[in-house]
Amino acid sequence: MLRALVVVAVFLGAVTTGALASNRLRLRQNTLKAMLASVNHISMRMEYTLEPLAALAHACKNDTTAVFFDAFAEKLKTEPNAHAAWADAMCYAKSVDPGFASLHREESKAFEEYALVLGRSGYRQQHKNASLLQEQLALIVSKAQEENLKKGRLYKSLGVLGGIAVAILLI
Amino acid sequence: MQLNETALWKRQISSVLPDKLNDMLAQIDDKLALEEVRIRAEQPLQLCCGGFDKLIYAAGGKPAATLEDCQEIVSRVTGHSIYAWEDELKHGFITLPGGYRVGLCGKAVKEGGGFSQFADFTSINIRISRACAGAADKVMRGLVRPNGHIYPALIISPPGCGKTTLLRDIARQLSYGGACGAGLKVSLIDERMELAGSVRGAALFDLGPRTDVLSGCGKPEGIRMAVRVLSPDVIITDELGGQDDAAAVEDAAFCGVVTIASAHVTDITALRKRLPLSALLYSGAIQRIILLGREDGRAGSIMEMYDGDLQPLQRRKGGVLCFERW
Repeated sequence: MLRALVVVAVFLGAVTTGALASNRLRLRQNTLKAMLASVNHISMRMEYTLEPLAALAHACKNDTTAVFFDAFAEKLKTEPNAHAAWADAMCYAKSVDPGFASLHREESKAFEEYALVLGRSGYRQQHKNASLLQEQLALIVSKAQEENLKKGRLYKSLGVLGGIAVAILLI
Repeated sequence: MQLNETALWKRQISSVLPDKLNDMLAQIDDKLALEEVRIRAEQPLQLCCGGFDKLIYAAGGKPAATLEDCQEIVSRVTGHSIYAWEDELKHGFITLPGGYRVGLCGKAVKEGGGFSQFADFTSINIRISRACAGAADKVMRGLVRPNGHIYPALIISPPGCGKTTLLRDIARQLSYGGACGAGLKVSLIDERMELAGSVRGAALFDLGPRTDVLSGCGKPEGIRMAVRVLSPDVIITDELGGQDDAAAVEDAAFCGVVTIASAHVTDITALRKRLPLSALLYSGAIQRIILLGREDGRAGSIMEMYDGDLQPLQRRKGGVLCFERW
């Protein structure tokens, strides 16, 4: 009886680990897509409304990016520049949101480079800066999508197969 | 809203200054009649008061502000959004809530052969804006005709002598009415958002119940727009300068609307030489000149009042206003 319980527990553990690894890939892809949407929105709204960054951050957040943009708008009140506010907000978002925590270093670097120029120049320069990030993100998102498709399934299958293998060994 | 001036300036500008500059300002007496706070990269902080100034160094005689501090101030002043203030930056200033004008100086960036805006800001001049109820008491009698109508007037002085404060109180008094008769419809053309201290269009200073504020709009367009759509009795605007401004004032006068404005002019001789402004005297669009200056270093002293022929009013036989043309 005890052995049966251990086998089931090990099997479920392996499946869950595989699912979590797969889910992390999906979350990363979703977060990147949501950030791309928010950056597009900011760039467009900046052109038409000339609202300050704090207002843009509130207006252009979505369900996924709210955790980051709310913190960004808040940090803008105290930080000496937008870059510092962005870095602080990203740090906070990574600590509380698994989607942001799953971002890779190269993705964080792309955002950081965008934030370096954010709000520090005229509209035309801002537009160019946003276009650069949009291009980078589009590439990153397509890679993340591919990775999610390939590795996501792989991790799930590995979890199930690994679980079955360990269960057989235990039996 | 009437502003309580004591230490208000500290609160108003502290949000845009780095902590170390706020610490320096915290040691300044709240009741000091401060006119300007000047911040320069690698230089001490300069506080300009009535007739004297004060240089404040950081500990050890070091400069009060660095180049980074200046960039940080500009970033804070613009809400970290320089793109939202491009037009203002082209003119070299941004107005803070409360009407505090932040003048900027740095490396000029050219675009299409002309000046576009500043980059690498190295000097910042924060002018402390004040509401001074009663500032216009001494000039109101000179602005009212015997029949109760208002003379079109130009307030002149070198920079920093209180023109804006005086204009603000004239607007308030005309709008409320009372000493100058019934309240009048006043249109305030506030190009630099300094006169009304507008925050999102709402005037921060008390400008009276009959005052419409057109803020952020160029003077010539603003004056013509006000005449067309606001049917004002009096138009008040700051810092007339070019031909376009003068032409708009003249147009308003021909439409029967009185303009009271200010201009950066040192004295009557200089006024005669500024053709767009002196043309207003000849056309009758301006019939009173108020010369402001500093007495014992204090701004806001009325040095002289002149009529449309540039004759001092006080020296006229028979009193101040009895022999006027209108």
